[in-house]
Amino acid sequence: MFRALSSAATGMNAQELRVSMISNNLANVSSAGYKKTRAEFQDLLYDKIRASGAKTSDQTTAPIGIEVGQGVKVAGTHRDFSLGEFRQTSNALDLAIEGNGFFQVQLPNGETAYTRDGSFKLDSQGNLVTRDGYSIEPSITMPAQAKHWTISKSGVVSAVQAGSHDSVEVGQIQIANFVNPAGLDAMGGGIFARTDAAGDPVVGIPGMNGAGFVMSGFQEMSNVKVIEEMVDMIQAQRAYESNSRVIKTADEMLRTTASLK
Amino acid sequence: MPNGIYSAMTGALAQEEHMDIVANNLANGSTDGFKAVQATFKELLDETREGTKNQTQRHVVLDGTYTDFSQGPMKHTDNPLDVAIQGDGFFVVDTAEGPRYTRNGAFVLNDKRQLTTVSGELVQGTGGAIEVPEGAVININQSGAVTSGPLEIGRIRVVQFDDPQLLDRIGHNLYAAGDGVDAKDLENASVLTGALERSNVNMIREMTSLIKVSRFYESFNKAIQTYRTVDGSTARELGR
Repeated sequence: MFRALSSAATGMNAQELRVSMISNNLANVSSAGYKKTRAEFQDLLYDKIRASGAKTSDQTTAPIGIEVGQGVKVAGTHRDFSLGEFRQTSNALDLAIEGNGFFQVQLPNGETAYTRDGSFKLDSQGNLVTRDGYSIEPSITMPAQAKHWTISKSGVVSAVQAGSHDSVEVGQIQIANFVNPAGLDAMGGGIFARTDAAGDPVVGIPGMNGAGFVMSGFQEMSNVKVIEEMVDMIQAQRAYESNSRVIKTADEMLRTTASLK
Repeated sequence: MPNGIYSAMTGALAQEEHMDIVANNLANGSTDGFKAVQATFKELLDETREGTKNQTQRHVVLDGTYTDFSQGPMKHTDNPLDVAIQGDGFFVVDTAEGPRYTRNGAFVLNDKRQLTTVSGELVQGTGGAIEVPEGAVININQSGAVTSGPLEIGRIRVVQFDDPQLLDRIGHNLYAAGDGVDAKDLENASVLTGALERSNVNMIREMTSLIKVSRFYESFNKAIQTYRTVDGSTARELGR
């Protein structure tokens, strides 16, 4: 009976976490480059009261055992790196990766981090930076007299300077690809940090070694699908409700017993 | 004094155990690949001193639990590493304690580019662990073959058992096979890619069980109460 109470409590906990994931996904439905997360659950250990195949007499064995479970636990949260929709912005510095990979950016503490949000801007020195001001790695600086610039599919940044008609190559955008992007550590703001689980990044030019091409003038939207999240939310709510019913029923049963006289 | 009070007591205890099982099923309503546990009960007859069975003294006890291995509904995720088995079969994963079996196909790649479960156990292929080469875009087809373009990298091993009821549930979505329970490779497994098999817990069935359990429990308690009253009044009336 107390197993029932604690099993139901683990069930409610699990659903609570699921709703937190769903609400975070929904809250980020318009965040460029956001990747949705989902929770993975596993059943807990079982109490083995009797093993299957145990002898019930000299000649016979029990075909089934008695196993009573103890509820559920969260095995992990899984980030889904599937592509989001692309939105055209007509700003040459908005970059989307058409496939796998991440842009590399330098954090203020000097560490390298990774992002799929390619809404780049120019800072006062003409450096290509993210909207948070983190500079892209390797850094790319636009010449002061640049009139307009283009970024090719394979990440070559070129600019046309004032008083000239020839475009000059000013830098190369590199893409870092991970063996296991789901293992990256989300730091918020669309920024991810490397972990051992994610493996070492394979850095290269766009379109090579499994990395996607770069699309200039596009933004990758979040890959959250509102309908899916709403359906999941309804399911989570019903599951939560049924677990709370178990607690209520177990409580009523205990009360009946306690009131025996 | 009538022994019926003990029948009522064992009945109430059996309902308590049933309650634990229902609670575990409901807690795992969102666990992908989970298979519901069902309980069976049996009647015991009291043996009297002469060695004959006393037909009027019946007790009910939890006889056993079995796993309902019926197919769970499929949920499409479009994630290329999510796979589900349609019909019979289990995926095989390597643990420190030996091979274990699972119906949960939410796989990921580890830092060595090998296919693993979310908890990091290696997924067995027919020729050892499945390692995805650098830069390869993989695809898993209906027979469990992992391919990169025209190249076959490996094949996810799917096995079946003559009697899956003999498997031990060890939690973490895994099953263990004891001595004498042999896994047989399933030749024509049907694997669905970009989908997960949801828990096969039937909400309506479990909620109905829950109501039944609580009502039965209540009536057994009522019976215990009645026996007590009868005992009390007998003692009072006869002792007068």
